[in-house]
Amino acid sequence: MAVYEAARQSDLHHAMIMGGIVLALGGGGIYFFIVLRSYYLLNRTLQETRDYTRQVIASMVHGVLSIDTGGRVVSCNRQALFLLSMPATTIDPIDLKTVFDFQETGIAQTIDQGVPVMNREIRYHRDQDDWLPLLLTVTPIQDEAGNRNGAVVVLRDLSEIKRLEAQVRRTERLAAVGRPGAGVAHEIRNPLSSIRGFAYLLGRDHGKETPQREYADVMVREIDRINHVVTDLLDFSRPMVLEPEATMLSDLVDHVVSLVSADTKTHGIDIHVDCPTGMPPVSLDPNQITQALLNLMLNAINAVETGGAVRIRTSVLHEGEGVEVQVEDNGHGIDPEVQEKIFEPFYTTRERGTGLGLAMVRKIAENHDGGVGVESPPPGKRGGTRFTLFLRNMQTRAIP
Amino acid sequence: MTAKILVVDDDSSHRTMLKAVLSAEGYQVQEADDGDTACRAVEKYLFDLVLMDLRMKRMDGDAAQKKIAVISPGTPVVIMTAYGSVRSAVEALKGGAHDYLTKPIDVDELRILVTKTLHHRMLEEENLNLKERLDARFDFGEIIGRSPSMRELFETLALVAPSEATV
Repeated sequence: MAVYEAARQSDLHHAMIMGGIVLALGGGGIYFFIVLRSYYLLNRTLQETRDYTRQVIASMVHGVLSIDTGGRVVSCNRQALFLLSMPATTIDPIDLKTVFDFQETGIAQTIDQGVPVMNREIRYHRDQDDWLPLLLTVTPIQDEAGNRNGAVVVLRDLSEIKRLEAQVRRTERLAAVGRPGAGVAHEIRNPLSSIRGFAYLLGRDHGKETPQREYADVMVREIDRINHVVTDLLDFSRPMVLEPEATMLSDLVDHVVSLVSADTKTHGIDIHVDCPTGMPPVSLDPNQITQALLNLMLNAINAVETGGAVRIRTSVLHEGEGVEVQVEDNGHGIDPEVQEKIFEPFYTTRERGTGLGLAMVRKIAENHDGGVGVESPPPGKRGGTRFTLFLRNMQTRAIP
Repeated sequence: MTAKILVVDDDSSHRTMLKAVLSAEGYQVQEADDGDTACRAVEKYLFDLVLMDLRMKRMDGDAAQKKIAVISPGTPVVIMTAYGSVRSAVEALKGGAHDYLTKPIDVDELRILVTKTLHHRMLEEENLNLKERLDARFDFGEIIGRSPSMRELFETLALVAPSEATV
């Protein structure tokens, strides 16, 4: 019986030990599971935070770079690479010292003494003749203990702001010229009016086909000519307010062609319109562009002999940056030394021209933040002239 | 009877020219060298037409024209402008001017405009005269009645009286 009792005792003892072991193992397992899970959660949160920070920085309009104390780029966003025109996949870390002059820009001071560089305007030369105006801000990176370990560089593209500033300056300059214009009109036209009236009276006292009558008529005609120049000059100097609206360029070209069709018919001049109808509407001032194209067309018609040809062609520039309109003729062409002067006000080769037609075209083009150029002869041609009007699409403008 | 024209311009040469041209056409011309003098002249005499510069040193054409419209409502005012802009012309017409001319003045245009304006004024005056005479002829002061139906009757009477039709 005692043996039986002892065996039972030992069995119970054994069972208890086994139970204890199983319990310990299970508890360990659960603990291990919890630790693993929280580690995993922590890791994921960390990853998400890191991704989010990266996305925020990547989505910024400004270029952001972080550099170490040696000036090497530790991290940067896409915009920074784009502004500095650097390839997105570089294996070697970029040394910012090769991009900016650290002493001149003050980055050296930021790294060494922790003095930030606030909104400094710099010119970043992309290549020989292309540079970008940038606004540079550099702030030191400091840990909690106050140790500096590099700097954050923020680059802001100023080209859009610079462009708008230039446009405002140009408009102001034109307004300054235009303001006295109204008074000048009065001061010139009053005496003209008196002379014209008296010339008329003097001529009336003599019979038709007498020399005196003829002289008086010449006086009246010449006064009208002066008045014409005054009118053109006033139109030219008047500040132009841009009233852009979405315009179908093909409609506008058709309208201009219809305006000159009477002229071309009488002179037997062919007009070729090469203007795709499917072009998206462009934001421009239709009145101003009509005038510019009309001036170019009339010049082209003037340049060709009877039986000549004038071609007007429109095209959209890549990335919707703007549109181009070309007016080409097969006329007598323009000498290279004359080409430089044709856009200047009052330069004319015609007897009765005021020399403001092309100056007006240039003014309108610049008003649209574009430009106008001349090629005579056009590339690949033996004669003739091609004028190219470039207009920036104002809808694509965005101020950063 | 020759028509009387007031020429208002602060530029004396221009005034002399206009006077010469209009006198040669047989009009009786008087001069004024600014808006203020013009208004005083209009107060004193009756003009058939006022030809006035828009831009003058003392009281410009715009203000003078408004004043003349009060002093002598029937007198047409033709404005002369050196700007040649549509806007200044529209402003002048809105202010009550009869018409406008741009400087330098085309004498033929001036002659035609003056003839036309005077003719228009003559017709207006004639019309007014006839109306007055008509009103005087059909004065129903003798018949008593102020009710709407009576007034309607007077109107009908005035309308049918000149005609031969039986009522």
